[in-house]
Amino acid sequence: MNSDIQAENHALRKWHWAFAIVGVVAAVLFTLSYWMDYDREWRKYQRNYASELRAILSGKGVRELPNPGIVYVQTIVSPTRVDRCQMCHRGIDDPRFAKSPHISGKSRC
Amino acid sequence: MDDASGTLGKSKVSRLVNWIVSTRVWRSIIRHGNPDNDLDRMQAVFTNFFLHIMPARVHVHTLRPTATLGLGVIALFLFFILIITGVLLMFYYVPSVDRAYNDMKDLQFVVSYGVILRNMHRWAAHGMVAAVFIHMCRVFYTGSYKPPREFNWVLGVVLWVLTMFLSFTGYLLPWDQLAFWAITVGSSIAAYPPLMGDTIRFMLLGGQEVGQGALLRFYVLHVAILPIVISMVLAVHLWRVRKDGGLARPREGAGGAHPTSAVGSGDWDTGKTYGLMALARGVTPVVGTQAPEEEVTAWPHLTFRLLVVFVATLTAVTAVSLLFDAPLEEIANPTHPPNPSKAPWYFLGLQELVSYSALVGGVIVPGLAVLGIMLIPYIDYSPEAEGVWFTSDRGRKLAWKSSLAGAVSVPILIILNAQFGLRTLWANAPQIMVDIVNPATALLIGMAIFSSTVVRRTGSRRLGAIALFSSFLGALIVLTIIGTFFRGANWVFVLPWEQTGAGH
Ligand code: HEM
Repeated sequence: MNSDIQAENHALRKWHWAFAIVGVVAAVLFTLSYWMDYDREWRKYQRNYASELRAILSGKGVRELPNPGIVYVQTIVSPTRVDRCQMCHRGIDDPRFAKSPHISGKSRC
Repeated sequence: MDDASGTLGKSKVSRLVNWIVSTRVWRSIIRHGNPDNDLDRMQAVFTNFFLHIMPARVHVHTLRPTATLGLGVIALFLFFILIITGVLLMFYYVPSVDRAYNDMKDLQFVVSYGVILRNMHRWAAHGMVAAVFIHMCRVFYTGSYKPPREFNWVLGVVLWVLTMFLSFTGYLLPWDQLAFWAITVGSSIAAYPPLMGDTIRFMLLGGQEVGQGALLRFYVLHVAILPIVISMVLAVHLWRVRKDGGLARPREGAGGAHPTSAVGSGDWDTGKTYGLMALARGVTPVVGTQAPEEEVTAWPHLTFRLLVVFVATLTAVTAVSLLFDAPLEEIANPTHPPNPSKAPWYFLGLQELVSYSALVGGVIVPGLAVLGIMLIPYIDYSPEAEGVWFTSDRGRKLAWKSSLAGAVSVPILIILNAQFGLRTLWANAPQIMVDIVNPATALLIGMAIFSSTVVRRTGSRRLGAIALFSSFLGALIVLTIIGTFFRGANWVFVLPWEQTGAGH
């Protein structure tokens, strides 16, 4: 067999290794992109809000307490704009949260 | 299909597999046996619609990473990624000035995988512009444009221009400040050609300024016309690579017959080592019997490499997209131009030249550059050392020196212009004189004199082409860097860390 062709067969083996490596990196990145897409910033705020509200309401005879596991997209559509401020800034105009550490004077959108 | 182990489970599986591949249905789709011998490997390639763009056998030189740097296929794979992410984005995006920006926000905050899709589309687009350009440089420096590949080079230049245009039309769609003003600046360059400039700009924008008409036109160009045109030119480009006898490669040994060199002498042998027509006629074609020593089957030697390059390209785009978000500024505001307003990066070299003279920077230089690059294979058609990087040691040194000369002359000319420019000495100099005496014109004339001197001294058109292309490349890179990082409000010189709110 010609030496160039032997060298080529040898090189192909290196490409198998390259495939293994990029394949693993690709799998890690795809998993990561799934996670990053799921774990949006507003989820955290909504969870915090729900658990704080739960703490405020518990023991006060409220039948259905908010569930921090349930988060949702909240959109306010007016003729001039679409507004999703409250996806993060939950309870911003709720007097029960006036003293909450998560609501500072600055958090307006 | 390995029965050797003899275990019951395995033999059952292999019997099942054997049964499946022997069914009428399977054989109607996959028309070759397991590719574990050369004949089936070759059939695997030429009986498959997607693989048959490749030859059944390839020369080992073609497979070496240093031969092509894989840039053509990287550009191709980026184009695939762009089509897939782009079609998905189309499900959400509406090209209306009232909705476009909000749709971007939706993609960012509400749509599943919206952020990553948009990021991938954006970064793959920049990547494709860069990959196509570097692919052009590799084809140039390996002398792979020589006969019989002249026309494929021309098709390549068309693809390069179309790719930039495709990216440029996409730039407007987010309808944010960056998009709006980059297109305002970019399309004003279209108005510089004398006589018909205004008409060109009007046709492009569908009006006098960037508005709903422009958004719709750019959208249609971006999602339909340009992708279709590029796909068609690309199909011809890849088909021509086959018809021109595969990739250019160095002659085998001293005086060895070179498969493609015969064409220049009027012979029609394109260097193909077997006839495709002969393949199509027989049921079990006899390919490979006359194969030259240095060839291997495309399956798996080429196909496997392509797979790795594809996964690597996809991985790189995904990684960049996870790390960096595509820019999205405030919603477009036609009354508040950011200062400076910058075109997309691949046009910033031109914008820098336009700042000296709109006519020279916006019309003459880009026109001559595209035309000149297209004509290279018709001026330098010597069969000298095709497929060899820089042709010779001398060529390599010349390439380095010329690109350095091009790169250094840019800042020198800019400083000279700032000190002794026509307008600094004579504030009311007529425009026509400014168009004649300015750094852009000086660069052009300098390059022309330089490369023709090289041709005269060396007697080699190839070396002249290397001098011209390399000095152009060096100057272009430095102009782009200056336009991107060193230009601030009112296009005055600033240091990068003093920049305020420049575009991308
Ligand atoms: C959309 C842009 C383009 C794509 C997707 C593309 C794709 C390809 C591919 C896949 C190849 C096979 C070899 C390789 O991978 O390098 C190739 C070869 C070639 N390309 Fe391109 N190309 C593009 C633009 C260009 C440009 C801008 C030029 C030059 C102006 C060019 C000139 C050539 C030539 C002459 C060959 C044959 C090279 C040889 O024989 O070694 N292409 N192209």
